[in-house]
Amino acid sequence: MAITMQEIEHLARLSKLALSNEEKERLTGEMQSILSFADKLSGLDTAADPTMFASDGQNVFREDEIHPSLPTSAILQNAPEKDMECFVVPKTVE
Amino acid sequence: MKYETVIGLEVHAELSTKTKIYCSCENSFGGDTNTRCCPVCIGLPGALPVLNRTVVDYGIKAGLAMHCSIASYCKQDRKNYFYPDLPKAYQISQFDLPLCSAGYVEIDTEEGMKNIGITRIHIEEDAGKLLHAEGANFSLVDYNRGGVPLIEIVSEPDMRSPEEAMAFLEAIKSTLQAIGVSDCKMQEGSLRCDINVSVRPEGQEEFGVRSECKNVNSFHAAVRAIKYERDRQIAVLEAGGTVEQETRRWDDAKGESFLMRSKEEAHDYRYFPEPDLAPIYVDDAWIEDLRTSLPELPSEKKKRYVETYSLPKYDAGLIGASLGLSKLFEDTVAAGAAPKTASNWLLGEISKILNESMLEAEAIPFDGKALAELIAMIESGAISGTIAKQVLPEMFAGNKSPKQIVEEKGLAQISDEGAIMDMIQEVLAQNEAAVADFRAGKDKAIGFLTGQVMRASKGKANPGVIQKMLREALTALK
Ligand SMILES: [Zn+2]
Repeated sequence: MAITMQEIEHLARLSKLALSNEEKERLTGEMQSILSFADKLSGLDTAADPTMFASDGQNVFREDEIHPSLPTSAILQNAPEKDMECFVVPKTVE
Repeated sequence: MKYETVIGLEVHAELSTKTKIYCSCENSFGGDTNTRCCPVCIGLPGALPVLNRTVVDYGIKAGLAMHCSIASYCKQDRKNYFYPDLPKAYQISQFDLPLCSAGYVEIDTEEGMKNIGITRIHIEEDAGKLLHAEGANFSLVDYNRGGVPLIEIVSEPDMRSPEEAMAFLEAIKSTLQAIGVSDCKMQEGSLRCDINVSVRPEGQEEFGVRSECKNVNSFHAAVRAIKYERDRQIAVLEAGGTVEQETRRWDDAKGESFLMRSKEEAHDYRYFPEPDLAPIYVDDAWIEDLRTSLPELPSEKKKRYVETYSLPKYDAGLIGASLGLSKLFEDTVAAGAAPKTASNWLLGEISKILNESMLEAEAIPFDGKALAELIAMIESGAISGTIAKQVLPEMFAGNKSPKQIVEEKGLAQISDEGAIMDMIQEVLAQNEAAVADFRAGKDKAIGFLTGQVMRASKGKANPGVIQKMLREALTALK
């Protein structure tokens, strides 16, 4: 599969990233080599069913019981910016 | 040209489990921001989600109540998009293999009963909440709602009018409440919907191009948004234009929808199987277990009320749709009241008080025995209907029985003829004109005079007795 500049621009838009032309060009090349590497897998004869899960586990459930949450100070401790016991993010209105 | 409106709905309902879907944080509404959060629900690297079994139970129950097939095998997927209310930058949802599919709900329309198809019901997690401070150039995020379990119910494009959409939403709400999987409190955002609307010339088989309307937070808003979108699309077509496939945002305050994104900018969610969660296998024993635990559904209640109690369909539908009203109705009838009389009280005065005080029927503080007692007092002539309407608010105010209230307030009907005669004489003396009218042959005057005596007695005199005695007194005067 060939990666085009348009593909990179589409991904950048989905990821809300503003990329310079140099970055776009660099990423097109890098992405291409990552995909070529992964393409080697298609040459393998794999089992008939696609593998969706890494383990054989099924129906791994938790009972509906409340356990204490973390204190708000701990929740916010890695926030780049915080205010009024909340995470601060750039103004976002859709 | 005449157009037909085609409507499909996507309803998101928050499940009323004790904990969130993938962690043990409490699932509740309100409270201080970011107090019900943990590494899983704020998406810290390395934190692993574990599915709450009750979420699957509730999803299956909803599916069974809406006549769906339950998948014997399903999985969860990552829906990728970037938005600050979504800390992992993906929402765990279900893509190609939903928990439930191919069901229907029954609605009442002007042309009779109609089935609205349910395409699918899947489980997923809710996002956090963005708070916008007035005038600020930043937003705040509260993740308490992040990871709250949701079911998304997707309908077929089977509705043809805003009224049918309303009936569908009511049916979904009453069903989810009846089976106890969601409290469906619109004002707390626990039931939200997206609306798909298209129009086509009447008689045309092919669907028109549809638009999707988001941010619809009440049934009332849903009806308005559908009407707005229908009219907008018809206007576009009538002007010779074409309707674009687009996503719009409903602004209920303005009563208008606005373009959010066009088809070209449509989201590309890059779904893939969630590797952190094992697949879900549901066997027949599990399904049957849940099926037997389902209570009587609102649609079944409605049928039973019509058949067993001869209630009009309209009454039966309204009472059957509400857990609180149906329990009170059945208890009142069991305590001896006539079904139609009980229904009149529930849908009349009682609903009026509930609406005025913004209460749900579940908040009614008295039981069926008390309501039956009130009804029996009217029927025995102990109190008048007018007085009963004064007793009812007192029954809401405290835990006194109707009898106690009537006694304490001295509201018992006056049937003592001596006392009534005193009031009649007084009224006759004060209303000479009406008396003259009566003597001149105008029988209508008796109605006015009865009313005056009723007023003098503060509603406590027996109207039948008043009329009889008034006639006697007036005839004696002639
Ligand atoms: Zn949590």
